[in-house]
Amino acid sequence: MTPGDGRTGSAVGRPLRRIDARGKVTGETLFADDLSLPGMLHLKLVRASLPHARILGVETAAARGMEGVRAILTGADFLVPFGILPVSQDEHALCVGKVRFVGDPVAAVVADDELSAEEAAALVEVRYEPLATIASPEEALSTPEPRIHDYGDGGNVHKAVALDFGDVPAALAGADRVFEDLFFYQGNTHLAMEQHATLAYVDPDGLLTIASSTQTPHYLHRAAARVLGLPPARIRVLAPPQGGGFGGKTDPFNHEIVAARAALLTGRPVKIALTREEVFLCHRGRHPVLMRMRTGIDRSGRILGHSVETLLDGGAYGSYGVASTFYTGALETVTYRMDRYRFRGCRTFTNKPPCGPKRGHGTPQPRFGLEVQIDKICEQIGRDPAEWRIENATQPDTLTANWLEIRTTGLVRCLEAVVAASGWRERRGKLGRGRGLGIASSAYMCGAGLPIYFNDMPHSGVQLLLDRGGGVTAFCGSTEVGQGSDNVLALLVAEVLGLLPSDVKVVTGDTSLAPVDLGSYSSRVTLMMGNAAVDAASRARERLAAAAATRLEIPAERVGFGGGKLFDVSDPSRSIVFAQAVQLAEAAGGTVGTTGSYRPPTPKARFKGGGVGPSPAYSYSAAVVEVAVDEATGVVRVVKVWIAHDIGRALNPVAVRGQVEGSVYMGLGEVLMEEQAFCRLPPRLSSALVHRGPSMLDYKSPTSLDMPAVETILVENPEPNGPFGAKEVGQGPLLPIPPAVANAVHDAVGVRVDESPVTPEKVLAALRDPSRRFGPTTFPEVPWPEPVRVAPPWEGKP
Amino acid sequence: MPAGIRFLLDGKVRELDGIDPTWTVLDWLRGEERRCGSKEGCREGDCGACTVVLAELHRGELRYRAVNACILFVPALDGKALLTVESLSSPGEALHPVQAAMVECHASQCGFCTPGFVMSLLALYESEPAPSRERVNEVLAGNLCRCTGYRPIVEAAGRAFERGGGPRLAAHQAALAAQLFAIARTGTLVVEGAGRRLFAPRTADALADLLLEHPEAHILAGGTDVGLQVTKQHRELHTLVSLGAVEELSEAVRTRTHVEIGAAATYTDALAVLSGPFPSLAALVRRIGSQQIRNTGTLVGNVANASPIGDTMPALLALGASAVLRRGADRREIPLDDFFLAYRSTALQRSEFIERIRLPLPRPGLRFATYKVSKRRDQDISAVCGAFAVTLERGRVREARLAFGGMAATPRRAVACEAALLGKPWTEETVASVLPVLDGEFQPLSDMRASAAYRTLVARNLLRRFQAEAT
Repeated sequence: MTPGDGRTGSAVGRPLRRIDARGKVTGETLFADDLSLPGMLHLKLVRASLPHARILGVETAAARGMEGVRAILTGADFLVPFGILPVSQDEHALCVGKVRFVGDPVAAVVADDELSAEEAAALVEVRYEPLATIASPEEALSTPEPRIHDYGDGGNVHKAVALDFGDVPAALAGADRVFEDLFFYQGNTHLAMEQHATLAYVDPDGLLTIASSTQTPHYLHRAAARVLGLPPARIRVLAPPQGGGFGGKTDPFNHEIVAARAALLTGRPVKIALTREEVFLCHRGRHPVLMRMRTGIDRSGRILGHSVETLLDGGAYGSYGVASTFYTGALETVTYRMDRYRFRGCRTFTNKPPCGPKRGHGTPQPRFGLEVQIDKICEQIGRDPAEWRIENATQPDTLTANWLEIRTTGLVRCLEAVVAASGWRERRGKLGRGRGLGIASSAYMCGAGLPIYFNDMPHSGVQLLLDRGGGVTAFCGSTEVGQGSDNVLALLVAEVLGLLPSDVKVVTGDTSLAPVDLGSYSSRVTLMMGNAAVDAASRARERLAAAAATRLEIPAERVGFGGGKLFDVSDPSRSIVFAQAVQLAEAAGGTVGTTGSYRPPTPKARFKGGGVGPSPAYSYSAAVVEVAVDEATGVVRVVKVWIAHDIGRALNPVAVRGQVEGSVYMGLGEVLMEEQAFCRLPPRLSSALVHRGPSMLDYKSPTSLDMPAVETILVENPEPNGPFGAKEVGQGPLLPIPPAVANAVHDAVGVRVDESPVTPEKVLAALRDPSRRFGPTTFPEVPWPEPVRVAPPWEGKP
Repeated sequence: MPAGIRFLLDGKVRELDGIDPTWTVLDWLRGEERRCGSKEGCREGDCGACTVVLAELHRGELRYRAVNACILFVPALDGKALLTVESLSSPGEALHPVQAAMVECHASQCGFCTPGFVMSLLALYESEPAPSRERVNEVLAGNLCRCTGYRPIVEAAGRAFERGGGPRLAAHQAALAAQLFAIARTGTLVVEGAGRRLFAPRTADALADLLLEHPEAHILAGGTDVGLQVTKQHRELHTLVSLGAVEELSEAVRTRTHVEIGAAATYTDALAVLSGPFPSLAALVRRIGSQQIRNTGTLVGNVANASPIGDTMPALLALGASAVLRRGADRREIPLDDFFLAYRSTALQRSEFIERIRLPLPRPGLRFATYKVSKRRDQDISAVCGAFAVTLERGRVREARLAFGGMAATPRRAVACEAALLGKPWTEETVASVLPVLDGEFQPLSDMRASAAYRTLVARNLLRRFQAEAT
């Protein structure tokens, strides 16, 4: 322990058990759907059966007459719109005027039990006037009318953006070689094991409480207050531990707001638990993205200019879509040096469940394109793709072409680590037909530099309460979705105070009891909540140290913390126990409670559109994947994955490894089998555009039998902006996996599958095609706006 | 004769009478008992978050089997002991070894799937002393986890077994066996409630009589398909006749000439007799559903269901299996070739049921293999399933039976292609020469699992692979 720097060595870096593990293995942890109250009513939503239609009328009389039905709500009860982004307030808790996808909620039934609610919901009749369906981005571009929404960038374009960092056409004209490729990344969904559930009730004292599967209780709090017209102080949002989020629970949802209104209306607790099918319809998952990439290199292989155009299939609502659109371009520059960069992004509305953020939010798609294109470039110019990446990796303490600030980077070390561990140099190209190795790397942010709504307040706050018994409770609005954020909170407070994480109680996911944390998204929690926790704990430490110093008659600087004691660092035998220190501090200065908060540094990017991408730090990953490809069936089996992740510093190495492996797993699912796909019903059944298989029977994710061995290497390179040097790990390690698999398939059988998922069918098709490729062949005409022109840092000021 | 369902939960006899016979065990646990450790993640037997363990007496021995509570109807509990995650420990008590290992190995992140994993591992831990890693993976493949990537869970399983200590529940075995013996039933269980009824006879004769009496009844075997009809398709099933409790139909045996699989034998039961004579078929059966599904689903149910993509049928067709059908006291045995008439339509007449499937043991010179091509290794529906049986004589094809699933409205043989092979040398060239014949025999559909072109191509490639492997 070193007094002063706040470190005691009691928790950081140790492979300690999670503080919440016991409740999870015994089944005692209560998730939202496990909550139940006396007198509770049940809510079911009536969902649209047509993808795009005007609502002519909603007949509720028959349902209303059913026994056990307590209330029926329609769009008329929810005229105030909401949405996660201030610029996309385009949702209604129940549809007003029209429906925009099959599954859009039109009405709601509240009944004594779930079955009655379901039966009554089936009796609600909605009369529609069908409108033309917009099924794809291409259709959205070619069909400006009817518009799905009456806002956006014209027709059915939700958002179109254009950013130029230097003159890329000139760079390409002057390049030694220019490569152009088209890629398509299919949409997929989070498939968190827990289906969303909400329980809303009104306290005897009038406080509306919404307990819900949400990764962002603060944003739900704001949306609910707005739609329900209540002062925020009259609403409390609780986020119980969640059965996985992955971005799927970061929007405020219609069912949450309807449940709240129903509770206010009936005066009874109201519960809704979505079915798996409804979860597929909530979606907010990975956007399908069509990409065109142009890259010009000089003789040495250096990128002189890189151009990315993306076309996003946004689905029926805005969700995070404006941010998602920018993210398909924002992090393109963070891994490899590129002199100039040009980005065009367009998100269209379509009559499908809305897309939003899924692990990696908007970046796995262009990452797939970039990493596969680099593989192709290296093949063409005869360079080893690992060597090229090492040589062209961005450097610490530099700015990127689009003004992102890279502070620490472990990219080169990650690449070297996976190259060494996989035997890349010795084994690549020597595995025989059908076997291959592929490599890719990536970067991700540690929290968005800006909040979702503009404000000057902290992004995360932590309050500590130290009680006379020596107990420490940390209060924070952060949300435990399974990633272990509660554990990080306890761990960091424990580290500063010389305790074990299990000594610290946490109160999280509660907008009434805990200060705001913006939520579990954008890999922000460890860094932002972590810094707030260290801040709060350091203040507590100061007070305890002062009290202990008085008692031990030494200067405060000499007070050490560890093992549940405060002691003289010059003579550790002179000590007092932690509880006594709290009592002394309380006697000296009153109740021992401290606060801490965190706000990220002001981004260097100061142009329109520059708000997406900046982060206090970037994590880096590199992966080598080995595959075996069966040329008779096209089946790709992943044999092994080597992955290195630049974690800055591993607060708990076992937990970090768990996040890395979980990301690898999810990346493999996306690239091998997962697809959120749609089809039209047969004409006799309305021809409606519907989800192709909203069930686990049809949407397959990998089982333990599909998972290869994963060798995880943690690269530690402390990040000054991170708590004790830590960076994120929840999302970044997913990113290199899909392109590394595609590159490995090429190494194995010599074909390029330029779109995800790399299914057996596509591999066989590529093997039979003279071009030895499967992938998109055209990119439609997009009406790009006038670009925002910003010179890269080395060419001028922003 | 006691009316109502009787089973054990945490050492106590529970009796349920007058309930809806299609009530699922999961809804009963979560809704009625407020035992919320078992989770709902899919309601169709895919994710395993609802996994519970059934303990039952089988030939005097206690056996533990993991099953999906979400598609299991409550009457299936009759005569058994139900274990849920809550059965394992109370607050403050020591954890079961598999739970302790899960904590130590960081095998739980969000924790939603965790109780299901615990129960799957519990069944394994209480049943098998030292399973291989492969076996552990096989057992766990019926539990989805979206957080961990599975490695820590597999590691936890290893650690639990390494530490040993043997079955934890063994101490209570004798008492449990005595209790189960005490609630054993001799006559037919009748459950009536919510306008629906279920009969669960104990003998094949009683079953045959019930079906004559109720020709409109739906036959319920393991219920892995019927369960979905209730939970997903919301089908109204008024009368169900369950054959799960008919002990004489639960046998899977190997006679001198045949393997015979009774209508109530689960895949797990069938595997025990298939592995020896038909390793390739056994390997395929291990990929049907999940451990939980194989513990309840039946091979005969798969046949009776007559889905064009049922995994076992191509193999049964290729191997020349027959079905013993029974209606009242009348029995007839027909080749499976004559069983599948059209899409989901079979030779079964009203009140008739399949008593058993008979599978002739392989004769010398028989080469047999079956292949399943699906996106996911386990627990996935085939795009194409192929099964090939060829008997060679001095290098030439004396008999060939080639069958496919996923290529037509029923599982079907490629008879023209078979005929084209007869008498020809069993070579790559011969197979290449008959592929156009094969192409002409099927006009597969394009659907969400595969395109027609892919199916046609893979069907060819599977036959070529078989030739290359079976020389």
